[in-house]
Amino acid sequence: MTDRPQPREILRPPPASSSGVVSADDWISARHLHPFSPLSTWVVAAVRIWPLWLIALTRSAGLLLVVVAGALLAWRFVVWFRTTYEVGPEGLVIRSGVWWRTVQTVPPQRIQQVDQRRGIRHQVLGLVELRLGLAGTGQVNEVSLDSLGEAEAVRLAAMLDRWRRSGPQDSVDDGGGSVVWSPPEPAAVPLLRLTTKQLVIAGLTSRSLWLAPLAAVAVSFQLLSDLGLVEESQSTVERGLAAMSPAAVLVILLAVVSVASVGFTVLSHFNLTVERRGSQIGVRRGLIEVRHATLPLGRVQVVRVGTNPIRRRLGLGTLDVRTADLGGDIGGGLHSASVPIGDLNELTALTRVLLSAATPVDTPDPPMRRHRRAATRRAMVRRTIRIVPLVAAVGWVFAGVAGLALTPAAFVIAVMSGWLYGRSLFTGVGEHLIVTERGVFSWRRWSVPLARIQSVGLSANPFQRRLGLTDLRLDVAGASTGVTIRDIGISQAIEVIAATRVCPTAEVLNVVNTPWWRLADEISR
Amino acid sequence: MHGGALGAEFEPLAPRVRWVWFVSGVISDLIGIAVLAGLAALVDLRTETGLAPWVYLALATVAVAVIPLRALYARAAYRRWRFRLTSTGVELVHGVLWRRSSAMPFLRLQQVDTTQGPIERALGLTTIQLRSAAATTDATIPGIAPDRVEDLRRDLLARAGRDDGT
Repeated sequence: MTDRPQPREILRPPPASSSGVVSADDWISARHLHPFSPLSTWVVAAVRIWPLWLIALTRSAGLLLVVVAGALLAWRFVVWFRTTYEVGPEGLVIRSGVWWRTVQTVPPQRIQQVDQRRGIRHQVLGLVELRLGLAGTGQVNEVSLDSLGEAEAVRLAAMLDRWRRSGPQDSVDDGGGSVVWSPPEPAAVPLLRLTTKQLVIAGLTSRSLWLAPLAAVAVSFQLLSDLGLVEESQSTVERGLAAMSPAAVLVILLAVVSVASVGFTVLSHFNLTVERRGSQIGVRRGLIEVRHATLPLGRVQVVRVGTNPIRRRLGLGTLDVRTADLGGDIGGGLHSASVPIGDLNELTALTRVLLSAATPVDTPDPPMRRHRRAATRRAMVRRTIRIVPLVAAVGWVFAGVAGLALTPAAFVIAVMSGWLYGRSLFTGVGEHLIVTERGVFSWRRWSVPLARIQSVGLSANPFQRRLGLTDLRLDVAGASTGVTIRDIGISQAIEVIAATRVCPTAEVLNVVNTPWWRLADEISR
Repeated sequence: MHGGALGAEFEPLAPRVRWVWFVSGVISDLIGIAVLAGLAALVDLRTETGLAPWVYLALATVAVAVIPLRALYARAAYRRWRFRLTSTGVELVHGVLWRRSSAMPFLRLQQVDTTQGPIERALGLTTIQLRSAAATTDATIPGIAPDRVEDLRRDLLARAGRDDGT
């Protein structure tokens, strides 16, 4: 074989060439993707609008078919024409877009993985898709050059890979995100193992909780109708339901949901074990499909422990790990692990181990500070606005004027739950760690190591500004959302930002310093 | 401004960005109103009684009203928007009703993208988007004047962090 490598060869990882540094001779001037690229991407676009083809076929609108297909192909051709790539001193530069033109610059030290793929359309047309996995770059976690010629793809992949390897080493292997699979560690230290009994408890205490209030409503409705407060129902549906007591229906529903919940939890988390091997955490679980995930500690970003009132009584909770997953398929199974149930103390200990790459294990928990009283006031008002009209409307629809009898009760519940929620807001900042917690029926506590924070943001709506409150967003690596600390007092928020060392002049980020009523001044200024 | 000290001055956007916001805002509003008007016309044709004329009147009023409102909004948004490059990172402050601010250290900067929409292109403006390893990082600076854009991009790339984002 001369120029055209065999498909198998193409799918092999690029050769780890040792010929050292990439020189200016290797740079590639701006060029287009393979000329077959429009055809290849046209197939994808055409498949995506399959309902249109179906309509055209059933209506035997052959002309429409041809026109749409032709327009689509022409468009793909324009896109192809507008897309170029080049390799220069800054790295790989991709220019694309017809209306919205975009220039993407990918420095070589960001490239973590160079992947070549061949779908069916690629194989037919003799093309290759080159995918570059970038170091945990959230939204843009991979850059794809779809439809390169085979020889070109192999050459480019080998070159980028060589460049990546020959780049400054400190940028690549600081124990963080680089997916370097070290040889197997000698011993596994077991951290956690779940019994089937625990899984059953997990299933019983999760979803069923949500149905309990519904059951209570049903029972109260039945009481109302027994007392003759609700008019006898006339519709067939209602008569059918009346044959069976609504409470009985809900009890049966509750049982079914509980069994399903238990079954699902046991099947998916059967025999869950968490163990540590050196700098990696292994999670094994499942009954029918056994899954085994390996999680480098260096990729752990945030650990969340949660519980609800029933579980708290039993001293139990759940744990979720958020990692700097690359998303897509490139991550190679680095998905977040979760522990569906466990002793709260054990989970706290596990949190420390999981965060040990970013914070010393013996770091004391930071002292927690309750958010300002204004946050409680806001929670009470918000819940009242959300719950009371809803309950009034539902009551009115189902039981007319008598249904409005539930409104005062809804008001009391809304105010009380708002008060409890507001009182549950706590945030603490330590030397290495930010901890924040909130929630009553679904209580959660997030631990964010300071070293993991990428950027921070404040946002405040007019109501929050009036109360001197703000939402503080802590962005961490990965495609998932960061951690948002809700309704924190502005001065406390600025203290937290200062502690993150992301912004040494945190005060300039103050979003509530302009009073809300000064908006008009600002416009007319 | 370049390589400024910790307390570098905040920069405003290019004033022309108000036109970008105004025009794109009005266009999107008018498209929305046109869709509603189309639906109203459809209902009008398909039903016997038709729609009351005030429906069209209301839509027309809204269509006229969005123009000054968008102009005021663009003006206020422009006044609120400011950003600066300090010696350690980028700081942005913006938002009219929902006030927002964000900060990202250069250490975390991974990628710098520039984008131009059709309106921006007509006005010669560019949007610079700074990316960190986090998907939620809010670091998009719209309305950069042409004489500033290349400087800013190079400056940012030169300072981009060497850490791997985790």
